[in-house]
Amino acid sequence: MRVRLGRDFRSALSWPLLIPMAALLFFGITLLMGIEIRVANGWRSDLHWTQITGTVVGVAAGAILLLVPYKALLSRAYLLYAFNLLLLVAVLLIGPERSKTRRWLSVAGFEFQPSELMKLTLVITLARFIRFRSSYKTFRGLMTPFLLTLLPMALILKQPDLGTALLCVPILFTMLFVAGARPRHLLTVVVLGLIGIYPIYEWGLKPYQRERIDGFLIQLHIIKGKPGQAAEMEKRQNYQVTRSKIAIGAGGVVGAHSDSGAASSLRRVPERHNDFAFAAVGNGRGLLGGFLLFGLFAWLLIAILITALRQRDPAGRLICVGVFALFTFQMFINIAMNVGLLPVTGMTLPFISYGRSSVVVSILAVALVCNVASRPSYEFGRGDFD
Amino acid sequence: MITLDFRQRIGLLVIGMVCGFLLLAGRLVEIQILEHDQWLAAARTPNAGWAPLVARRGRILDADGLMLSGDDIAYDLVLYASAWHGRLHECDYCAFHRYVKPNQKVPKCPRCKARPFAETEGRTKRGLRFVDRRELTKLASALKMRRTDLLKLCWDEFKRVEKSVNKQLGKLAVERKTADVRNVWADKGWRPRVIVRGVPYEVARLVELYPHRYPAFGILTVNARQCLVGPPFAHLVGIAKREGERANRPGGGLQWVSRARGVSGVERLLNRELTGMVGWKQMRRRHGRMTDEETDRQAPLHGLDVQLTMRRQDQAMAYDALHKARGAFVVVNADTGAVLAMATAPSFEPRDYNTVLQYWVERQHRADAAAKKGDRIPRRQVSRLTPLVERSCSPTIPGSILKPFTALAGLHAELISPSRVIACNKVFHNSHGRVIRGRMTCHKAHGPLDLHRSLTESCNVYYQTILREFIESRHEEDFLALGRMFGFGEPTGLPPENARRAAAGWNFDKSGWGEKVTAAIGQGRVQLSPAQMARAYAGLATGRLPKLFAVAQVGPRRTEPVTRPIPLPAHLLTLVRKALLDVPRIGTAHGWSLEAHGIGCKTGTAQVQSSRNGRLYNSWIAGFAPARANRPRIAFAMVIRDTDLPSADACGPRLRDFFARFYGGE
Repeated sequence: MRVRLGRDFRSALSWPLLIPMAALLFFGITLLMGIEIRVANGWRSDLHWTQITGTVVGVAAGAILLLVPYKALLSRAYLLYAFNLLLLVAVLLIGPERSKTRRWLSVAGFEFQPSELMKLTLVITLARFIRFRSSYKTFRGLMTPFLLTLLPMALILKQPDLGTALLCVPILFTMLFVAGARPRHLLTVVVLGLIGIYPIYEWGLKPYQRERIDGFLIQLHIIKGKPGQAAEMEKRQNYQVTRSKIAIGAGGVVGAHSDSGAASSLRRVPERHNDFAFAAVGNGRGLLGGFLLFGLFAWLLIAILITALRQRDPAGRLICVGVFALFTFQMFINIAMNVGLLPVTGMTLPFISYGRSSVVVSILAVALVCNVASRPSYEFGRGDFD
Repeated sequence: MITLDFRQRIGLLVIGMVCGFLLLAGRLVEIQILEHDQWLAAARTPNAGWAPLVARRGRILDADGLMLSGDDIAYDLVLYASAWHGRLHECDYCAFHRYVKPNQKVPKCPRCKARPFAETEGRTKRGLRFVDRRELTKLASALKMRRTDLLKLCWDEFKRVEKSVNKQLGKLAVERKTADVRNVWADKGWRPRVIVRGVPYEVARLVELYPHRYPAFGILTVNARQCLVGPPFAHLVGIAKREGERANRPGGGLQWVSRARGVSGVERLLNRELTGMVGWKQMRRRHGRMTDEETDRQAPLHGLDVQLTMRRQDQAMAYDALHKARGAFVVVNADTGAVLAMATAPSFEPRDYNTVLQYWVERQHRADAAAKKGDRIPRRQVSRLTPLVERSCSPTIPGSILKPFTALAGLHAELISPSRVIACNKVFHNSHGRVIRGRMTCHKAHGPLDLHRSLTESCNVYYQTILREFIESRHEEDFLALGRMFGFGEPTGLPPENARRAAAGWNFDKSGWGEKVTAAIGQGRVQLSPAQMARAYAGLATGRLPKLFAVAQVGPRRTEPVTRPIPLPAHLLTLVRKALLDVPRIGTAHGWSLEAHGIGCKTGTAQVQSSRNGRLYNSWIAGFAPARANRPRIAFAMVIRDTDLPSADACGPRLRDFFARFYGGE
């Protein structure tokens, strides 16, 4: 494979995608500059430096990815998938345990989450599978893409990381839907899934995960708790959401003044640098900051969809749609969780939340879409999904 | 079936995305604009703390509205544990932490035994901030205690806070929450911990004036209960012990607040009405400490005032009448049942108990009484001296004051008539003609007696014969039923009464033949309290049995008198009343000028102990007196317990003095 570095790189840069991504990264880094978290031996206020490091690594990795044609990735998709599965198994076997979870692998002093990488690998693998088959248009043919999705999901759930695992499902459904799978088949699967919810809730979840769901349902008055249970749930499980809502609500339209009581409410939000980063946005930047963030995300997502529409290669289209689903659901679930519309699950806000793995994978995802955008294909094969 | 092309499917995704954005935007508008004030208030709340405003406990007043018991200001010396700057050590492994005294070495964690148990950064100030030796000595001397004792009190209290902090940290670790030691300390440590209750004003002034000298100390101003009238009212008004309770804070959560809780008497009976409801003020907090800046307030709801039915001087007179005796004296309004006096002797000084109920105070009372009596006194006798025992509602053997009711039972059952004569030759015969000795004998042979003479001379044989005939005709239950008409075996309605004990005193469940017969003269297993006897004599005097009450009014609510008619012919009651009116004139109570007040009464001497040292009696007198000089018609009962004098000698002069003062307008 002959690579013409300068020209290939310049042609691969898709500015409508890169500008909102850069803005979001900048937004996230400036946000982290104002956040201080409690650690074992004091307070830590240098989160933004770690995030900048992650951004630099991500940009470097993204640049490398831009140079590799996405079709080369597609042709090695199953290999990547198998490799990532191995990493997930390795996490369970040799990963360090933190707060009763095993999510990280340490390589040469650099820690990363294979589950984050798996999201992107799953998009590529599904694109490869769907691109060269039409069996997914039958109900039985849906089995293979579901198996491809459920296998890493099971390993991720074993860590446990419910948020990341659950994110695989909407990615699969969106990609199948756009590829032309029969909606009634998908609906049947959804119904079957709903029927299977109770056994999963009863035996598949850990007690704290069940309590989170209970707390959420009691809060929405969908189920009625025991006398005093609502208050207890509010205190124990909805504690994070309540603190988050207080911080966001106190921010008002333009954000809370830094030395006011409203601003100090953010210090009581757990994981304010990570899963509850949007609480920091709402508190510090207010409603306007929230809308700005929505605008940037909308820009990025629409740019991804436009890339998909312009692309003629079905596999390229599927990659774009997969990345679109990845960002959209991750963002919606995270923000909905912050504002109390969904129960709490461990899920980061792309580009904003603290975490090198998350940032690197998000940048890689955009780089992958750029890669697709820079290589408009007119392949002779199975045509469009029409 | 509708089939969608790729663009349409993408269009659907866009529509879904826009809907999602709109939903999130709407939710943000709701939280950040519509509910902004609510969330802002919630955000500011942690910067404010709620301080309790203690509700004034209701006053207890006498019938004239004069105060018997009320709140007074008192000062407690408190320790703020968070101001204690020692050396904080924290375990690297289990997060256990403790403050360490200067020069104290703790090589391993006391919980997990791990090393190192290292000093935490940022908290390395040595020594204890308030331990300025000279200042502490000054404070201790003002408290009249040794400096080391004061320091030990502080350490003990501090250890309790430390224990609760560690407990909280353990809970947080179990719940997998970040255990922020400083936050937990700030939460637990700012609460004042009482070191010494009721310190003198000089100490309070010292600490308040020089806070920089005693930074870890503070003064808590609290309402202390003061019973102003002392021993005469001690049993009726009762004791209010000061303690802490958990009260709901407006911002959520519970907080300990100081309050007084009634543990006896009216204080206990009407504790809820007297207590009121605690109020709150919200104070701004800076750096974890409350400031004087008040931001919100909920006024306390003060307790209701309680007015008793008795006048202060009447109660004092009744108490004086029991001077140097162990006994009780109950005077009630015969028409309404309102208690006019209810004295118990010996009594106690309620001030000794209002702060804290301590066993040693009671022991002190016993020891004092024992010391007055002699070097060594029998254990049983010591227990009877217990000043905390309320005697006016305690059932005991009634003796001959029960005879009028035996007479009424006999008349009602038509076993006797007013003119029936029974011969008394000092000894009592059973139905087989066998002589029964012991308590059943009279002290002299009365000869042939009719009903009137039997009451004035208090012949035992006469009444035992009546009850023997009840038993022979198997109608002894009729005797008990008549007693119930006069309220025997049921509570009178007064606060210190024990309903089960009251019921147990009027039945023949465990009585043999002899005990049943002697019940006619108030011996055997029959037990009645002075309050029950006063009530029964009120019924005898008026023909209606009142329910006794000592509380005339609680807040705006007045107590309405409750009476019930006694289902006996009026002429029978009149017959007995006439006989009782002759008792002070020519009967067993003559010689004490009681007839001058128009009193009708009956004396009783119940033998409670017979030993080589002599006999001890419960000396009774109970009766009724007419209305006179703005005074209501009254019924009364007095008992002097464990005395070696017969009833007339023990109670007569006391009753004479009381009525001289009662009707003399004092």
